[in-house]
Amino acid sequence: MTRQEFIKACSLLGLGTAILPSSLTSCETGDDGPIDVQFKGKVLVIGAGSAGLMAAYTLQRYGIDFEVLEASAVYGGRVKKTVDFADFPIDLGAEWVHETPSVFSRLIDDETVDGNIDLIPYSPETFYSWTNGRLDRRNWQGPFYGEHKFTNSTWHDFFETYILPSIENKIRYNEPVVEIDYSGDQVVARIEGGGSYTADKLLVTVPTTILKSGSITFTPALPTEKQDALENMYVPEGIKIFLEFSEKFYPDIVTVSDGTGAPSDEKIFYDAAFKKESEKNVFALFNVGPSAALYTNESDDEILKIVLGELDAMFDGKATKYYQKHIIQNWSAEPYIRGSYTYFHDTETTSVEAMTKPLDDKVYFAGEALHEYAGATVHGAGLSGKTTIETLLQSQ
Amino acid sequence: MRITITLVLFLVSAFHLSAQNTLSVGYLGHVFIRPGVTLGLEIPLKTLEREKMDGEVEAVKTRQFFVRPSVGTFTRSRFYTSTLLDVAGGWNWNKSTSKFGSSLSFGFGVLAQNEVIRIQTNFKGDITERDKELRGYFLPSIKYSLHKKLSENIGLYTQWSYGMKLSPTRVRSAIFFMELGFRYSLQSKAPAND
Repeated sequence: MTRQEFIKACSLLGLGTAILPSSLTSCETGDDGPIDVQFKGKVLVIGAGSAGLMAAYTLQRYGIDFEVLEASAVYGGRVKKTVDFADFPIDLGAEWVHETPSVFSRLIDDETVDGNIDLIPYSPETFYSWTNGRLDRRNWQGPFYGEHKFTNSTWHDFFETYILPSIENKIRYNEPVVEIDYSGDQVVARIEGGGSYTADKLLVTVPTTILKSGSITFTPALPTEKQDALENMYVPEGIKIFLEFSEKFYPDIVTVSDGTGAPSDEKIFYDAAFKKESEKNVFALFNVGPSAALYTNESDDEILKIVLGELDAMFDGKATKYYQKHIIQNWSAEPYIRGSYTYFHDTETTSVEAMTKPLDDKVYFAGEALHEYAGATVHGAGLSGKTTIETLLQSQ
Repeated sequence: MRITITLVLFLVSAFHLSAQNTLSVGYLGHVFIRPGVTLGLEIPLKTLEREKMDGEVEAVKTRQFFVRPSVGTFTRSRFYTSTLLDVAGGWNWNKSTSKFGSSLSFGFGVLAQNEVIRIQTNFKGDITERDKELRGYFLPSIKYSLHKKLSENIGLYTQWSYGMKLSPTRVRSAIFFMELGFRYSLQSKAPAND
């Protein structure tokens, strides 16, 4: 499994505790910030996922007027948690930290912010492989993992604790944008069912699936260069399923090879309580790619039946024997997500460059697909939102 | 660290005990990105020599049985720091007409792994806390080494090891090591295995 595969295979997550929200707004104007702010108008941010939240946080930090338009009723995008399932918060979306711990300082980018984040070095001890109906021990692969997980929190907690407090009054929920009109001096975002927002510049952070589907139309239409870039991008199916068992009969991780051969196909079962402060036995399925279609088009009852059947085959019927409850997060069925994260048919760099070029210096793009080296990650999306806004602010 | 220093002193002392010994110093790690260092002392036990024609040249083929205690340490930033004490027994083979030699040995080691189980970071990018847990393993292994003579006393070597981490309280796990370094012999003439 390559790093990129692993990153994409694991990409969902959680975090730490202590906080000092007051310091989040410590840099209220751009005058003393690390960049030379030229822009003075208003910015619209479309989407309140990792990229949109970090973009908003950066705008707030530099004292720029902005609003965030979120299509759904919640913030976070593919960062989502539940606290009701187990005795620790569970990441229903992005879960791993695919970077060194210092990535949090790069996201916050403000040393006056006080707080700590507790992380677990993710180095599985028991590592199995399930191929062609055979379960093989691969414990030697464990030390090659170089990721981290949150100790007893989530990525969602990170945003909730450190990012949201300074921007939450600027987020407009249930406002799905259907048209972006940048033909005039200002940019207009029209909302489904009527209504619109106007600003001097606009940042699009919606998932690749939404852009590719045409759910948002652009006036004038997107240039050919961007349309070609979108053609080069695709987002496979994605699902996470968490199961609680009365006994722990499973290893830290099982990689599953379904033999589809698709580069995007990634499927693992993993101990979701690995090194957590938990007394629960929670084994989870993470599946992205064509093989995830086995579940994503089925009812929840059928999904459970399929998963238990698979685990019973691996572990001699113990899954059904010890099963207690489950929770399913079908990302393909989320109306404003519609899949997992972005892959590229061909060269990634060209498409990223094409997509990140602003339209008439008014419409900008950011998101998990558009970070130059950390695509398909939460921190990559966040850094993409942050750096794109910094670029925007340095323009007139 | 104290154990490592003690072992190093022991090896250096033993090194002075016999001019037949070969000292080795090298990189040790699972792979190239896991930095570590190892210090070993190869003590010959018995040497067998046989003359044989190598083409038109008369060559001396040598088999030398040895025991090789070693100490190594390797680390993976933010994950663990490990100390490996190992004693290997095996044999070298080479011939006088070649600068290359090989060895095969079987080792038995003790691996002390100081595993990071939790870290805390702040927004300055500092690691503010680091909780560790000391884990011990027995580590039987098989090793293959290739060495090349550079001069009468100095040579290069690489060694590849495959072992099994065994513990009564933890799961067993295969482990690979690679060494790359220098060998130095106190013998006045080239060591048999160099």
